[in-house]
Amino acid sequence: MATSAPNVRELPSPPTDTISSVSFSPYSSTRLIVPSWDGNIHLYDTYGSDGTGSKLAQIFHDTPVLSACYGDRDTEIFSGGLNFTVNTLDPENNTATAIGAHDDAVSAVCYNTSTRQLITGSWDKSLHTYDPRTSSLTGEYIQPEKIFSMSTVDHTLVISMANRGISIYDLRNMSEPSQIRESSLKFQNRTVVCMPNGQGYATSSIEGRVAVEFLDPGEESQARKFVFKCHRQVEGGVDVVYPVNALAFHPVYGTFASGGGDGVVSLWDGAAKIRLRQYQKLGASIAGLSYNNEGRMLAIGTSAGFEGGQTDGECPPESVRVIIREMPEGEGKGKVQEKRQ
Amino acid sequence: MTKKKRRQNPEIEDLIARPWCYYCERDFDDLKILIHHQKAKHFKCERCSRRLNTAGGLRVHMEQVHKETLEQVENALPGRESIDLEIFGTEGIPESEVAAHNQRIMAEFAQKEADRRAASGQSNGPKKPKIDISKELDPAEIKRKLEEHKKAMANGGITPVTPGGAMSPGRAQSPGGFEAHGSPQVPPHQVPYGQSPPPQFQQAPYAMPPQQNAFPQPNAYPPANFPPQQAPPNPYPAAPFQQPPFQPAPQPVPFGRGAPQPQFNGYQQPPAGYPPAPYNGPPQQQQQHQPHFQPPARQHQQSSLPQPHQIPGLPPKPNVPGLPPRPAFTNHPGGFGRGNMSGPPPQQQWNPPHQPQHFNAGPPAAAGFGPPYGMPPQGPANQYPQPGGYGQHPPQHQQPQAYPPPQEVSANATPLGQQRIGLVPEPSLAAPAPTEQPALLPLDTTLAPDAPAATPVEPPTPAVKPKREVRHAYPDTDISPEEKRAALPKYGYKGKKGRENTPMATESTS
Repeated sequence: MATSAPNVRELPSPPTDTISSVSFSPYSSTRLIVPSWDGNIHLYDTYGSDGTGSKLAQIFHDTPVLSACYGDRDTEIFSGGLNFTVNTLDPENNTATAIGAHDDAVSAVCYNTSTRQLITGSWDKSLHTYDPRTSSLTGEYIQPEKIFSMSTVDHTLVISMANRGISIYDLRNMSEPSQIRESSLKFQNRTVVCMPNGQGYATSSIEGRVAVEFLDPGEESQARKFVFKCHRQVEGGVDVVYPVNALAFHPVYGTFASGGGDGVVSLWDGAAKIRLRQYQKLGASIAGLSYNNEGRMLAIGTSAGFEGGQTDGECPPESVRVIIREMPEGEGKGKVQEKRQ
Repeated sequence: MTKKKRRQNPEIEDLIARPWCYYCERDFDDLKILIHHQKAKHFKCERCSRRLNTAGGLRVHMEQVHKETLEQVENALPGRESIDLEIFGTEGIPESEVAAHNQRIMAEFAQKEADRRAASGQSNGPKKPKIDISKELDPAEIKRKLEEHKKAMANGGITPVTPGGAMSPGRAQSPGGFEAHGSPQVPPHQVPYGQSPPPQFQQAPYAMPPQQNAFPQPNAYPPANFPPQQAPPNPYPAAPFQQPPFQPAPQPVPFGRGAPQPQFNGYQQPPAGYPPAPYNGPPQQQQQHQPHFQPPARQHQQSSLPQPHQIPGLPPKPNVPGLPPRPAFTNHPGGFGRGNMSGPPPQQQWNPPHQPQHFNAGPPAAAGFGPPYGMPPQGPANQYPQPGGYGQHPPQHQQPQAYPPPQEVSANATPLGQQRIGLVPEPSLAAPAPTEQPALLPLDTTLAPDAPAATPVEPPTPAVKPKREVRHAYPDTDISPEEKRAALPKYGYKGKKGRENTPMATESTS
């Protein structure tokens, strides 16, 4: 469609309703899952035989899927959605099996490779951990607020909740959060992602801001945290502030991308505190971002909705697109730090 | 410097008009390049390599982003590291620095001119000194130079003053070369260059006298000389001879001080200033000389013309055939009537002779400009007598005669002299000023358009932003977009018990 640049292409057969997120497989560089409000998880090969990408599978749930993640391998996918259930999916057989349930919609699922457990969060203010090998619930932890987003790396789990709550767990000791924080952002949390190096995380809010924070509670590390504004634009003399719906760290460079309700994707260097790139505005709110495991492709999911400023939340199918941007060598690479004092 | 060789001798105006960087004194072909340079060299954040537009912008950036304090501008010359000045391109540079910069350019220009002449074997001492003079010197320094000049004069006059320092070599060369070159050069240059060569000679010794002399001679030789201005060949030999006597006294100091301004006039005036120049010259003359004026004026013009040309054109002539000068000459010849230009040139001529007198008189108090101007009148008297002695041409005679009186008058009546001075300076200064300003103004104007574009960028970072009305694309602070969407009927989400309904309700209401 509007993907004129040679290194940008749009995957065929996009979802028919709002995209919840996009996630590359950690195990192969071209596998992408896209959970959607159309009740399906769409599985793509982003390269395909002819370089254009193709849809491999479409696994139907009876209700919108809010979150999905890869498990131990390409063929192990977990999902959660409005039907309160936590599912394990087999894309080869196109089957979905419920392995647990929350008392409300499952808003976030993530898989920790270090402890090999599935973690799910729900609007019912609870956190579940599952052992995928036995499909059994291994833990249930009550949270103070509805869980909006989660991210895990190494042995760390960061949970972003309503009322600006942030909880940090050490997965080896889930009895209580290792840290409970209040978001540095003054508005509702939107999403959270951990740094690939495990030193910190970035959170975003509905009010055009991103915070970069560090896990180490030491004073020195905490002094390094910062917040910056983004995804705002002036429309008719009014400064319109969009939600930052998606964040994704580059697996190699450690820089990160942000996607906002304004349809803009920006690349940032958190260490140098500068914006590296800002891509041409896309037609609809950015719903999801994901780098592949090599950092050579960036998947961008777009769909109209409340995040883009629509008051009725309508999401016309033409606004739903999955765009793959091939990253040229060095793009998204942070600036070399000069003269660090 | 990175000046392009547009020509062998760029016009001083062009040099002055070039955008330059306040922080490192570099000049650039284009304002945009200057701005690029500043962003890359002086306004670049060393932490993140971000390029800001101004020092202030960088300071704010450092404070806000890196929590560091910017203390000075990078890569700046000593004394120019201040971050307090908000400089963008050539905007915001303090007036005093602009003046100093222009002076520096002019000095450099003069030096180059001198070097070139030295290299080409021709002496253009006068030009250099003029240029130097042109620079605005501190009154104190001018006084000092006057003192030196006096001493020099006392010693033999030839020793140049500091300003003349450059001159001295030129002069030495000129005199020596004079006789030697005079004959040889004459042949080649004669027809076309005839005029130009004389001027050169004159300049070296004291341009004016030779020319005058030369002209008279040409006249004496009559036919060809005047129209074509070929006269030079003949005149040259004559001129040199005459000149030598003149040179010692008048040349050294006078030009040094007084000349500079005249030169400016000469440069600038020729192009745009013809009308103004004439006015300046004539009025003064007229007041005093009116009777003789017209004829003298022409002569003056002729004589004077060469000088202006010499100043700008001379350099080219020596080096190259002097094609550039010719056009000017041709124009001038046609403009002999215009010769009025002489206005400035006469001053120059006059000044040299006068200066010695002045020194004697002790006008030094005038500090620089005043005395030189006053000087001219006296000078002419000295010079003229000689020409008169030659008595070659009636017109010349007239001129000399006419001049002496004015000079005397001026000399006698200080007030008048001052008035003249005032007049002279005004024209001379005025002439340069306009030319300079135009050159600068365009820059400003160009800057202005650019500046707005750039400035807008800056303000955001440093300045307190004018509070713009803010609208949240997603205004709900408690309910997530997903919850809102889930509440849409088409998803059939019932929520858990009554809780989901609450969001639904708020949603519908909102």
